[in-house]
Amino acid sequence: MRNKIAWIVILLSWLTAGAAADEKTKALEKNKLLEAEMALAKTSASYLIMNFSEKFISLKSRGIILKKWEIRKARFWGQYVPIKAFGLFKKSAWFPPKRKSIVPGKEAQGDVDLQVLELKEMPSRYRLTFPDGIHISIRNRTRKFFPFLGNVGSSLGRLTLLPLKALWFSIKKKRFTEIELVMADEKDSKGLYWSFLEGQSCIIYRPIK
Amino acid sequence: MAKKKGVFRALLGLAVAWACLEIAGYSVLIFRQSGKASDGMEKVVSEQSIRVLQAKNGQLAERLKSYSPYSSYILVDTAENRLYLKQGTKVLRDAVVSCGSGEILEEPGGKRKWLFDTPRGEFSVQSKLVDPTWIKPDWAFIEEGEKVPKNFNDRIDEDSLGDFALGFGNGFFIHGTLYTRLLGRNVTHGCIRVGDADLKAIFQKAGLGTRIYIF
Repeated sequence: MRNKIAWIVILLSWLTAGAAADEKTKALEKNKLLEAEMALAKTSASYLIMNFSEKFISLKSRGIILKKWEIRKARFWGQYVPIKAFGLFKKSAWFPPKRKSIVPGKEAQGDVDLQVLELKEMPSRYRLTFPDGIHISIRNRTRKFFPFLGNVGSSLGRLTLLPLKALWFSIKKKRFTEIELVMADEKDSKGLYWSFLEGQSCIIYRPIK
Repeated sequence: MAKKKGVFRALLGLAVAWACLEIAGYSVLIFRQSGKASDGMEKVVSEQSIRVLQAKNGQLAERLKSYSPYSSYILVDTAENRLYLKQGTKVLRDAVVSCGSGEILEEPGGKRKWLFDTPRGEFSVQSKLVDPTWIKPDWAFIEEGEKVPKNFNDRIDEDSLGDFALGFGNGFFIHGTLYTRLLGRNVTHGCIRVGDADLKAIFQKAGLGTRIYIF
């Protein structure tokens, strides 16, 4: 009987200690997130928070949410990303949008088909490169045949190339993180491309537990 | 036959080498993924009590709130061509607007170049004008294939900006438009065009210093 009680006490204390540690980690992560955001909110520049806990990407300025996008699915490979601000180093796409030139003398306002740079011209599949070996691939859910084929192709490519890349970074003793983000729809992935500018700061928050 | 065998062996060798590299790569991925404490987080956890942390977090959240404007403010979404007049989280007015076209205009001869983007960032209302007059800049003439006038009076345009204009710096305005059918499209030279009724409401509510966030 005594043995049983002792076992129960040990088990309970182990469980409560584990829960307390979890809560502490969560509180500390939140603290780091808030500290990092405070530093950004002090300035007039807008910034992004990729919150994988709440599955949202928020574009913010001075703590105000300017715009929010839902993350439908996310996959991670490599090391955890520290909770701090990273500047977007590069946006790359197979078909990046191109600015059009105005031909002087041509009355643009009367044209039915305006040659302007709008949201629909943005790519829906692209890659974001941050310092410290952090790469984020963005795409959206789709039922269209060719984009679907593209998604399958990129998944197969990733399966074979990602391990080699991880190995290479490991040999070079560099950090390596690869994230794949699937946005809810095409408009969202295009919208993120439009709003996220090179040089803009971003906090990537992925909870440990 | 021997040649065929040699090729087969070489291919097999390559496949095995590739597979070994893949396995090594996957093991690196799995190993690195498990390295959770790499940023020293768990060390710090043991040093701070949970209540202290939670209290700190509460304070930080409050401080963060204090950075946002107390009075009404304007949000402009250049991707969607929407303007929101807000107070806290409440939307007071939601308007369809026209923002910058992103087009490039080059002066014949290539001396000067203009990029027609709506500037992004945090701004504030610096001027409020009733029945504004547009002093047409050089690009307005170059775009239309006309000569840049030497006489100042030839630059005055009293119709294009509508009934009201809110200046937010560097010659950019939130103003009215004659081209209401183009609201919702990115067609401007950088200014933000608004329909008459929305413009009036925004003009009445936004005072000098009202913050504008353009993204």
